[in-house]
Amino acid sequence: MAIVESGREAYGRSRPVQCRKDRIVPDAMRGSGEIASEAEVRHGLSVTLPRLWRYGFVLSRQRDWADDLVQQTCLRALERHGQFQPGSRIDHWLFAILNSVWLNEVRARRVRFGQGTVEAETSLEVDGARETEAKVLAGQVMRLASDLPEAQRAAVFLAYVEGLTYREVAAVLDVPVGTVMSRLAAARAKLADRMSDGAAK
Amino acid sequence: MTGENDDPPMPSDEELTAFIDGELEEERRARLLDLIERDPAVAARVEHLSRASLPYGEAFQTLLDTAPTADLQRMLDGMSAPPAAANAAVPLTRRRLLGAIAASVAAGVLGDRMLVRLFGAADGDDLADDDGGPDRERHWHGVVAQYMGLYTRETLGGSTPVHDIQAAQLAALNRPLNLSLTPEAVEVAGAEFRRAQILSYDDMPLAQITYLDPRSGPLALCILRRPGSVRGVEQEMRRGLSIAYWSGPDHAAILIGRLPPQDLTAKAEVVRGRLAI
Repeated sequence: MAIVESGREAYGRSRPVQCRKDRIVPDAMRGSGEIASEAEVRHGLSVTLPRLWRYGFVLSRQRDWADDLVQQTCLRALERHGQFQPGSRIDHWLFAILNSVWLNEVRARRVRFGQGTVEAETSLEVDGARETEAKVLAGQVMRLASDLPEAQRAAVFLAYVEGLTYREVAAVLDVPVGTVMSRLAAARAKLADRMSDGAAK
Repeated sequence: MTGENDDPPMPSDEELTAFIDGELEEERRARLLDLIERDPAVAARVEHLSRASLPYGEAFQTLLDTAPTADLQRMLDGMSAPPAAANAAVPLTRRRLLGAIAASVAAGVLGDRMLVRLFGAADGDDLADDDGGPDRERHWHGVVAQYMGLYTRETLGGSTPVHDIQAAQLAALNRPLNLSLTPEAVEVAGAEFRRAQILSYDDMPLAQITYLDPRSGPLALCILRRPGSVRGVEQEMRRGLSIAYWSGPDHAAILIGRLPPQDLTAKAEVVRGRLAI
């Protein structure tokens, strides 16, 4: 007797995903309307690993948490590979999984285990050894962004670093587009104020 | 939209942000452009918000460069497809093994004939840290704790199988373990049965019955067939998980989960009363 687990629709798409020019998904995966194979999802994971890790780092602001997040994301993605719709953006789907893992599992678990959350000040620190001017600027921009509250930080990262449209950001974060708009507007206002104050210096 | 007045209010930051980001529909965009031309206050607000248009892409490039990509790839490669992992004859590293186990669990393809090997001390590298010294009798607790650490509510998503399926799953455990488990006997108060399967530890069959406790998450009852002394319920913590453990003449059992130790022990006492090991 085989034991079959019925997967829940945790990461299933509830709304249509815009299919733009695709950086990630190989030709074979496009528009077939078929269920993705584990191998396809594995390939998608493989080419997206650094970007997933970066998103994990932006959310958690800790290297080891980012490692954990990517690992859990890989597990969930392989587990749910049948839910990925070939032809849609696998990188966005993976971001959505990572985001969900962060909100529902990793963050909650760490807190419950009494290890506490990280203070904002211990946040994104780039290796400061041989910073060129460009690196200094990059560091300032990252610090500004990393000081934003988590929800705004995630929206800013997805929209302005990963270049997702508002709709795509909403899909990844599983919130309405209006929420994305208000998070980005609040982030912009805050960042603009700090730039005006010269706080980035 | 109103549009009947000649002095429209300041558009919201949301709208201006969408304008800057190129996310406004053409009509709204044109109207806003017009407004910016006519109203210096609106123009000033747009200019202010635009100061936050920074080179984010370049700034965050550094992080991509520092991502431990090779390690992550190795980790991903270690999550091999379930059947391959089960049949592999070569010794697996613990990391690879756990990846494989977790992937199998995740894929939900564990059949009743499938044995997943949980390695003992020899392969346990960092498991040894948790073992509280030379207590070999309880070493398997650490292995199970590590394994259970991979479980999340998602892993145990889905629904409770009907009674007949539960009984069939348990029957598959009864033979190798020489037990007579029934759905009633393994019931854990407040938790929903999810799955019973057979694993192995150091070549000894290990029954694992998983539950989802709506309050605390994954919970498992594990029974190892191993002769030893009869002992009542005791408790310990491993890897942040509570464990209540006891043993009979031929079996050792643990109940493991994220409940407070007292709650878990109370549940374990009840199970122990119903379960003849």
